[in-house]
Amino acid sequence: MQASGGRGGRLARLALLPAAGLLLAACGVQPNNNPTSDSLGPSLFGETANGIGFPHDVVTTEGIASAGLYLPIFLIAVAIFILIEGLLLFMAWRFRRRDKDTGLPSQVHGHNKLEIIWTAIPALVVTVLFIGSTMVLIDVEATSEDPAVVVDVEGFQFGWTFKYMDPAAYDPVTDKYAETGIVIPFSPALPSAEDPAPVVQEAILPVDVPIRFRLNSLDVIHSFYVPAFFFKRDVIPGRTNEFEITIEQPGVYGGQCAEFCGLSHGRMFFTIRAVEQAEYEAWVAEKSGAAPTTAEAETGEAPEGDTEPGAEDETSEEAA
Amino acid sequence: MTVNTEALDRQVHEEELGHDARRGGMDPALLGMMLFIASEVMFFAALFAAYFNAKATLPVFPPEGAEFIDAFKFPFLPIIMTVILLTSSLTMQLATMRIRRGDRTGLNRAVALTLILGLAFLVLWAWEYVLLLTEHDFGIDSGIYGTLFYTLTGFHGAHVIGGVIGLGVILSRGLAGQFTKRHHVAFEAVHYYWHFVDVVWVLLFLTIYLLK
Amino acid sequence: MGTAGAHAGTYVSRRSTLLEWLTTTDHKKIGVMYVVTAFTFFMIGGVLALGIRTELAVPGLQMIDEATYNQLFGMHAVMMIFLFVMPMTTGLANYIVPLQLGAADMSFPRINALSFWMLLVGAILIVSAFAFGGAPTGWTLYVPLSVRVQATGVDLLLLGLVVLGFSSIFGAINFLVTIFKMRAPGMGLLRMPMFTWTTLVTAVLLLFSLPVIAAGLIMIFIDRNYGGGFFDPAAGGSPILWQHIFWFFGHPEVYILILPAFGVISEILPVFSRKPLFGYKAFVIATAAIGALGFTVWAHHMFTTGAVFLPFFSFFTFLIAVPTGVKFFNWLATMWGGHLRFDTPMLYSVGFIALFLIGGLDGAFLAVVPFDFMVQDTYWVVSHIHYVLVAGAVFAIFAALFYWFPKMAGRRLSERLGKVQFWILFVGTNLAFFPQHMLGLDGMIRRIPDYSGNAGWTELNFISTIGAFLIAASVLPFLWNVFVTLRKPMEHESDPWDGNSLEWATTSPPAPWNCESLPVIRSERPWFDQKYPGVGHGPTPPTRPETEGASS
Ligand code: HEA
Ligand code: HEA
Ligand code: CUA
Ligand SMILES: [Cu+2]
Repeated sequence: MQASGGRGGRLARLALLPAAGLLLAACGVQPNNNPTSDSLGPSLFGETANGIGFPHDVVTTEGIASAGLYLPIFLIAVAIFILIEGLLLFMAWRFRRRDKDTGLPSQVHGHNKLEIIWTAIPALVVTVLFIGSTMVLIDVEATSEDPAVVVDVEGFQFGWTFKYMDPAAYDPVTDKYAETGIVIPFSPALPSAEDPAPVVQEAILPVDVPIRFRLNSLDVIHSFYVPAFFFKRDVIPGRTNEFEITIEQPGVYGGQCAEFCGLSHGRMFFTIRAVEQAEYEAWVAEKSGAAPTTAEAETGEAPEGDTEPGAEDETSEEAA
Repeated sequence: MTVNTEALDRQVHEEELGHDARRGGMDPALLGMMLFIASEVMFFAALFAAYFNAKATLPVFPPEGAEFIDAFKFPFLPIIMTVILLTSSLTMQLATMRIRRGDRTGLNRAVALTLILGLAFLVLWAWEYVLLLTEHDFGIDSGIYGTLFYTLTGFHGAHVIGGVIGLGVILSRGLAGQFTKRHHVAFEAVHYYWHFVDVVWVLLFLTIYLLK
Repeated sequence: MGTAGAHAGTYVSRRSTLLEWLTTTDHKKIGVMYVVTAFTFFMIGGVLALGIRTELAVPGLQMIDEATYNQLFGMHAVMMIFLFVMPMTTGLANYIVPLQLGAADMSFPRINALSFWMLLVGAILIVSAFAFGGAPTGWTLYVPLSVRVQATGVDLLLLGLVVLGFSSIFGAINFLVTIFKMRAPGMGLLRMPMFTWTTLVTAVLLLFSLPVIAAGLIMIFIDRNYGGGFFDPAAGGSPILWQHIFWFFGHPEVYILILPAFGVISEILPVFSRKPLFGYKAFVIATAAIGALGFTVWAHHMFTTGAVFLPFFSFFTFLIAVPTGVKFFNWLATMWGGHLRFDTPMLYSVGFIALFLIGGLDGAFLAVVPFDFMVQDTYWVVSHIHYVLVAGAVFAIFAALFYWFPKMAGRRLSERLGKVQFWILFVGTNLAFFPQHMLGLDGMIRRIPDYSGNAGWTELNFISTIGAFLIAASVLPFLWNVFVTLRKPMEHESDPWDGNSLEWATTSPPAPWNCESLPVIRSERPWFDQKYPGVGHGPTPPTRPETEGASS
């Protein structure tokens, strides 16, 4: 896993600040980290489990922009927090009822000017927050004309299929890209007696180019969530949800279904490995060559199962 | 019994404080009925929202496999039903005018007429269901259109049943001579409710049978 | 009219028989039955929460399997929300609102009783879901999952919720009519105590949001049992539609849970500061504004669906911070310069302000759409839920119980036990729910029975579990407190806290007809005005009560 150093790392540490005391209290509490090996009972996770142990970094352009919102809001929240808790503590001490306080304090019923002030200031603050966050939102939601990579992600109970599509072959009538034949399946691989360390699939993606994900569900609602992308988007049956990201750092990023979808919702993992573009192209070439089901190189319209040897000059490469 | 004396005490006490009756304005029971109708409006609003959602999002509506239920086809049931319910609203209004003038017999007649019209509507409602189910093989499980159709008309029909029961109650109370020019709150409540059921039907008719 | 004080203690209550309880239409008895029922479900829902927390204490599946876990959080939430907080605030309002209005009972006492018994029917249906395959859907019942789950339990849950919905609709109508029609002479709308005001706005929210969810629940029922296609994309239906319906109800619902709590705090702070509520009218306006805005923000629960217009809902969500902020600052100003007495009700009220704030700020973070993309459906949201509901609603409920217990039972709860309870609960709440912020930021999603030992979440989860058990432990002194206090003889103190509103102007417990006579009502503190002539709003009271019409 990545060393925590990116923005996300700072982010998590900031949140830790007010809880430093809590953490201190937790020192010495070291519950078993390796439950598979002892009597604690079966664990859903093997030691080489899929996509857990989320990195603290935020690695996409969009995610970094979003995560950048955290600090200013956090500071505003801390200021409000300190103001109000401070006032409470001060008043609890200063205005506590003493023995001499037998009469009534002065009966103030209100103060229009003050009340207007503390209506206006929060209104101003939230307006600024709204404008700032909406500007970032527009960037995050933006999509490019021609993404370098298009991945159709199918969610199902309880796994994923990543289908690499041909970005150059878009059919506006069906609203679909043509398949390239590269398919990465994820299913909840449990360590079992026969297979103590199941092979962890990885979806390989290039860095520094816009990648478009198109989400679909075969059954119930799931949610595509990669913490390192600072992003999630629901995967809804009967609807295609699209978004685009650009990964900035090579690395392995775990993802997980975030919308409750039934029995094994907690095990619906996937893993993304971001690599340099050259490495990505090599991988695509290898996959296309090795895979029995490879798309027509030229048209990209060949149906699944159409085997074509020399389809190495993959269209998605060209676009990349 | 304690309960009775408590109630009595309360009543006497209320008289002293000038609650309810002396406050003027709308009778509490009527206000309660208005609020109940307000909540019913939200109930139907949700069902209508489902209808318009489907209509707005589906490429063709009704979706393939279901045929639009046309009001202008034999036996014109929806149109007859509309005429019946609208008439019943008129007779209900007539009843109101009668009792406000203190005409008890007129009230009873008009209520009885409304009741009969309500029952007629229910008969036709059932007949339409039978026709659709048997001749058109169109049921609640025939896709979103069937589901919407039966849920909307079904809940409306259920409300008509409720209204007819209400009419029955006020008819029997009217026959027992319990309503006067001044005191006929229960009648007024049913009267509001009946108009509400009617308005819902008109909206239903417009959205389901007319708006293609 | 004599002063009400002269009557204090004249009514000696007699223990009611069981039959009298079962057949009662007295708003006070019904209120007590609501409160007791609600507290029972708090403990059941809490035990389920302990199940959740125990399983999550350390990685691995120790106690229960996935299928069982998946039933726990939904049932926990349904019980806490629909069978604990809602009946609890309804019960308190049942008892207190007619007293505060100077009314003899609710407008429709028999419908009031009906509402309570419908609550029990709904509760039985929901609890019985456990026996019929459970309802592994979460409290949000998202479709198509909840349509597809093969368990009769889901149907029972749906039916139970519909019954509860109609129980609450009848209750809401009853409160509205009572408030509009049964106010004592002189009590204009702008002279009603804040708790009554929040009950009024809550009732409006209930009236307009519950029918919508009832329709939605029925739609799921039709889809499940009669082959309906409302939510089935294959049949032309839309899964998103359910989310709109649910949250159109669901967001007003969270204000239904918290507005009465705001009302309680607004009652207690002035009494224990011996000052009037600062900016009474601003409170009324803020309450109404929160209620109205509550209907404009529902899709902030749907930011990640990609199916809603994000800036609109983000904007209105932010906007709700403004009226809530007005309440906060006016509360602080109410305390400012007062003579603060930290009896248990006050302690809980101040604790409420201190901790609800965290939950509110969490909410403001969530309104930032790109940030919500990260933490939606993570433990950040779980933390938000519990800071507003445990540190919010539960704290306010305990404040209310300590505050009004002497009115209901004729004797005060032990202050010492109350303070012990408060501090355990205070520490427990923060231990249980603060670490969940960090878990959420780190990507721990909700509704999972297990997490990896490598994720680095073990310590935080373990702390959270300790906190949960502290919360549970804090309930024990309360139960003991009630038990011990009820065995003591009644003190019949009519006005133990030197209160402001009319419920303190009658005996403790009040006679079945509530009060013999009422003070003159010139402000929202009629009883205070009477006790301190010349100080409060009203001038020295005239001997004859004003007639209605001069106000509102
Ligand atoms: C009592 C219950 C309650 C209350 C009062 C609130 C109050 C708020 N809630 Fe919360 N909420 C829930 C209960 C509640 N919520 C629940 C149960 C869920 C999860 C449901 C589920 O999925 O299961 C949820 C989820 C939820 C979400 C969706 C999260 C997600 O799933 O992605 C959002 C998003 O915007 C949100 C926002 C808010 C906001 C902005 C407020 C505001 O009302 C808060 C306003 C208060 C303050 C801000 C503090 C005081 C103000 C000041 C001191 C003024 C100055 C402040 C500023 C300038 C910011 N809530
Ligand atoms: C009013 C609402 C309310 C209240 C009061 C609570 C109270 C608590 N909640 Fe709950 N919670 C919700 C509303 C509420 N919750 C909602 C809406 C959800 C989302 C559900 C969903 O995802 O669908 C949720 C989900 C939720 C989760 C996330 C589950 C998941 O996503 O997988 C967790 C986990 O920690 C949790 C914990 C707790 C705890 C520890 C308490 C504690 O405060 C409880 C303390 C009370 C007691 C413990 C009972 C009384 C004590 C005794 C009787 C003592 C004797 C008993 C023993 C010592 C055994 N809750
Ligand atoms: Cu798929 Cu959760
Ligand atoms: Cu909300």
